Amino acid sequence: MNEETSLIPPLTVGALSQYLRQTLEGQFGHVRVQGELSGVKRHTSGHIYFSLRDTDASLDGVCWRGVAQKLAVQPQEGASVVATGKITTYPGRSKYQIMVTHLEYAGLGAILQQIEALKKKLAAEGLFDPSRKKPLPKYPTRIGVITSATGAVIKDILHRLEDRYPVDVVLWPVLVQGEGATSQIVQALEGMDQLSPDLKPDLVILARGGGSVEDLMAFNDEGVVRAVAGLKLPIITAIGHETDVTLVDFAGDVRAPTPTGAAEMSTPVAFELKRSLVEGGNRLAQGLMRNIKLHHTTLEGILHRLGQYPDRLKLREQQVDDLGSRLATAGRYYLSKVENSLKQVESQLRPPISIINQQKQELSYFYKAITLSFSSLVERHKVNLEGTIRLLGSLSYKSTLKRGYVIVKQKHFVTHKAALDAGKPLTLTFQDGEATLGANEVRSKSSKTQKKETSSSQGALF
Amino acid sequence: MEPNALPKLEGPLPEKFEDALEELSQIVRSLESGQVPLEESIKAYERGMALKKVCEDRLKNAQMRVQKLVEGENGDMEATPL
Repeated sequence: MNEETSLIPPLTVGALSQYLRQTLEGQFGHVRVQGELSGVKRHTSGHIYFSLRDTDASLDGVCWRGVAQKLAVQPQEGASVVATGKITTYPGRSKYQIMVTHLEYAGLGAILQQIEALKKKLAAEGLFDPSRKKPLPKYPTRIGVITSATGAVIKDILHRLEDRYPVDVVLWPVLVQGEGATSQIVQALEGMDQLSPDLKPDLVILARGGGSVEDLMAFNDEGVVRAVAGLKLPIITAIGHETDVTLVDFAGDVRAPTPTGAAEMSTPVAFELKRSLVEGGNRLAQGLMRNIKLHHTTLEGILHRLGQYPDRLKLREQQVDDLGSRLATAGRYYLSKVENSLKQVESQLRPPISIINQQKQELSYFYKAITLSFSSLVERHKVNLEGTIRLLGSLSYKSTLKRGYVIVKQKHFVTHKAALDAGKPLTLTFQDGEATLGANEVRSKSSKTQKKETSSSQGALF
Repeated sequence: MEPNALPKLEGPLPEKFEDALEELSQIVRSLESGQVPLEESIKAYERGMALKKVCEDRLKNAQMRVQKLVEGENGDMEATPL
């Protein structure tokens, strides 16, 4: 052994351990480390022990009770997580470990994947089947609420219930996140079914306010989902906001978008009920009146028919009278009809003389007609003839004579000077008669004087 | 039961609001069908009015009572006012 080294005073194990601890905690007082959870153990003391693993390294971890209750993510075997805390030692076993103050899933995708896998598994078991859904009671008298005793959720629910329908509310307070939340919720769900009749509700509302996916993880817990599905009472789930969907929403009978919505779905509106009750009372009274009237009408009908009997006899009598008088009228009518027909036949029977007379009459008529038409024909021809004669007259030489001309004749008409036969008398025809010119006065001259003479002598004639 | 059949008109009135309301609406329906004998219809009316009163009283007297459950000494849950 080296002397120099032997001079160094030895440390106690405890002191070294203390030294190592200080060094580690000083150096690694705040670390974030990612790994897969393994060997998760919950001690009765409330502390949680586990290992964080990599492919080829392992780090022990511990989470003290006080912290464990507040963890958003409860350590689960196999989960990929990021742990935040400090490295410390456990001197009793020559061990170092991480003291976790915060735990989160390594990436949202991993959580959702995990939820999706569980959803598939439970769906395959038929836990979400519509046939399992129970109808909600229409008029509940008591409603069980499982949620946090503090916070806005229970206030919202009570407030809305008060507005709509006065009902007994039994609150089963639970932690809605962190260590113990899942077991408390499962206990509350199972407990509701087993409450004594004076406390047992008609339906259960499981509610929680909005939060991150990690905050809502208790409602994706397999045990909680199974407890919801196994509940005998009808249950409305209202976890987070409208967009948050957790697995209990699939297992419950009705999913409400919000806790307030759950209050609305669970109860009718008292005001509307009162109104329909008033209406029901009115219909009851009207129904009774209607029934009485109906029976009254039936009775009246029977009485009426009873009272009508004597009248019916009279009616019969009247009928007989009527038929009798109609019989007489009919007889008379028949007789007169026969008479009429006889007269008609009689008038059609005529003696032959009347036929001859008629034919004579017809003959004379035709005669007259013919005579008349003949004389009118003659008259018409007469008129035509006179017309023609007048026309003829206008065309004859006589009308020419009227205009001052004279016809000269010497046995024949003399129309040329050359034809004039001197020494023979001339006959001059005027319009009103003839005049004769002596033979010795007839000379044929071509001299002017002769012409003059002729004209003057002619003038002298007049 | 036929849709318009008259429910039994005797016996104690139902405890639950829901039952009373259902019986009332049955009576109204059968009265409105006009097929109830006269004497029965008067009985039905009286029963109907009694049922209506049950419902109204239930609504009138109903007050919200809120209780919180806590674990008792023997492990059972006990109710305490919230």
